[in-house]
Amino acid sequence: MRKMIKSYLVFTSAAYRIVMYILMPVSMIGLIAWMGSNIKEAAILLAAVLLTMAEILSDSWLFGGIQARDPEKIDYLKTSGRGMGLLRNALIMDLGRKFLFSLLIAGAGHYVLRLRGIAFLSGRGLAGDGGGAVQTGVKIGILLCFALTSYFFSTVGTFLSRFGSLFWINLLIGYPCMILTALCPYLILSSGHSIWLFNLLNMLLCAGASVLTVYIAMRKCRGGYYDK
Amino acid sequence: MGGIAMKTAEGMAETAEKTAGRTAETEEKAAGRTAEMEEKTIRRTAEIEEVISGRNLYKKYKGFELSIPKFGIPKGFATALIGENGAGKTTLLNILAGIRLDFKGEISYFGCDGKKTDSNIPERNMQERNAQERNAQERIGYTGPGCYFLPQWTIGQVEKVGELLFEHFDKDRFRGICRELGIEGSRSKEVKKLSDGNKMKLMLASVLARETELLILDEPASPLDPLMRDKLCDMIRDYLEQGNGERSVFFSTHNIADMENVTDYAIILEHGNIVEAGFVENLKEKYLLVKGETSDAERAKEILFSMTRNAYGFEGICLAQKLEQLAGMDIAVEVPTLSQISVAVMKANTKLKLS
Repeated sequence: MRKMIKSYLVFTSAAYRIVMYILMPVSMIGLIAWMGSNIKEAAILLAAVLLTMAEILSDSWLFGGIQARDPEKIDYLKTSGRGMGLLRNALIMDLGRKFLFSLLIAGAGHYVLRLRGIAFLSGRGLAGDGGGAVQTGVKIGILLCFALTSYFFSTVGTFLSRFGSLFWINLLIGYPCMILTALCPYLILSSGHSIWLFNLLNMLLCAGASVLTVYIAMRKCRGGYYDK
Repeated sequence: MGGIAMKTAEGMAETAEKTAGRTAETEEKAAGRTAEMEEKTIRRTAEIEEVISGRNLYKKYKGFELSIPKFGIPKGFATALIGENGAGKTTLLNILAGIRLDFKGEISYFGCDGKKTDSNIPERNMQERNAQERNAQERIGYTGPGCYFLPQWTIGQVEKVGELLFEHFDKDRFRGICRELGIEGSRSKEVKKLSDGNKMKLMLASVLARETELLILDEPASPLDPLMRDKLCDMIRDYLEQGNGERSVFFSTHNIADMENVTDYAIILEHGNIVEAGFVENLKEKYLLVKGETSDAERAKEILFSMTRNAYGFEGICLAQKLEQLAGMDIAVEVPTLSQISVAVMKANTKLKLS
């Protein structure tokens, strides 16, 4: 695990770490605290939406262009027998970090709302939940839905943006991913079905997107050995 | 006219008998010289170990074929790979550096058994890379064109990646080389923001910071300024000297003149084939630079390997064994530079339509 973390950290610059590990989470939680009094739980969804964009944009610092069509890329990694392992570890850890951050921000956001006395989904009934007060399990389910949706679209967004090496491609891909991150939980919640069913489906999609992201990036980089 | 001036008294009016006698003598001398040179080369080659040797290397692209039946890079020397654009230099270097695996043939590193590869099963080649090959990669430092590093990496990241990638990466040496080359001050600068010359300096720092026995450098001189090219030659020389005959350098170059003083052995590649190879001193015995009068240019053209004309006369490279055929002409013979030899050999083998 330590080796994997080290592999990941070498791909991150000091600027990336400051922005993504400190400034981004702090500002997201600050945003939830600030907006919470006006838009309540929607502040967490707003943070999830912005997190999606932040992840897609910041990836241009990290693995930008790694899947682009250039067989002579990152030859430095290829000159070592450890290079491909290092890259795979870094890609996996990046996904792990994304997943953790999406959960942490949703969880921390909920905690901040509670601290400020803003009850999550208070007095609201959800379709399919009997119209009464929202149970704890459902609350957790909704938070997880926000986090998983954000993770899924940030993973898909970064996966797509890695085929190009220009920042504006990340920006271009970031917008629809942001919209979908906002839209999907809304559609899920208004569908009337159990939130956990969607979360299960969401988890499967997240796992699929994660596997695809690592597999394609590795395939593209290994392809450099064979002019693919 | 400098050099060895040769002018026969008989000139064009010699009798047919004399000419026939001289031709026979010339051929005999030429054959003797060639045999002597070949023997010398064979003796020298036999004495010298090869750091990399290859057999039946074959790689095909659309419209290009690299096909090398046999080759070797002498251990303990700096070997230059010379050839025109598209000759296959980068392909060959990539294959040798282990970053291109879809080729056919057999390569031996550091005297170990050769590894056969087959392009029909390229994915297996990757998985079959055994510990021995990985060990060979650890002993080789490679720098290449294109996106060698991820463009968003900073110099500081390059150092950290190097530490993780290679067992014998010396962080302090890396910093020292960066300082020496004037790129230390920009540690937080991204690779994409560095000039081509500074990118090359960074690549050199990253390979020289390691304990290696072979450097494979693809066009190291091209992006560098003349001062830095001189420094590069010094660095290569220091690297070889510190290795006490155990270290070797193999580099491709178009800047033959700048790199000549550090080149011991040269391989000239044209259209994917090795057309000439040998120690520079042997090549300078094999080929001679001939300068002569305009009046002799037409006759000399038939004999010379390559020729250029100007208002004062002609200049060209001649095989030493054919020198006697120039008897009767007012010529001067000089030792050519590696650059002149290379251009002549390339001209003789190029598919370009040169005037």
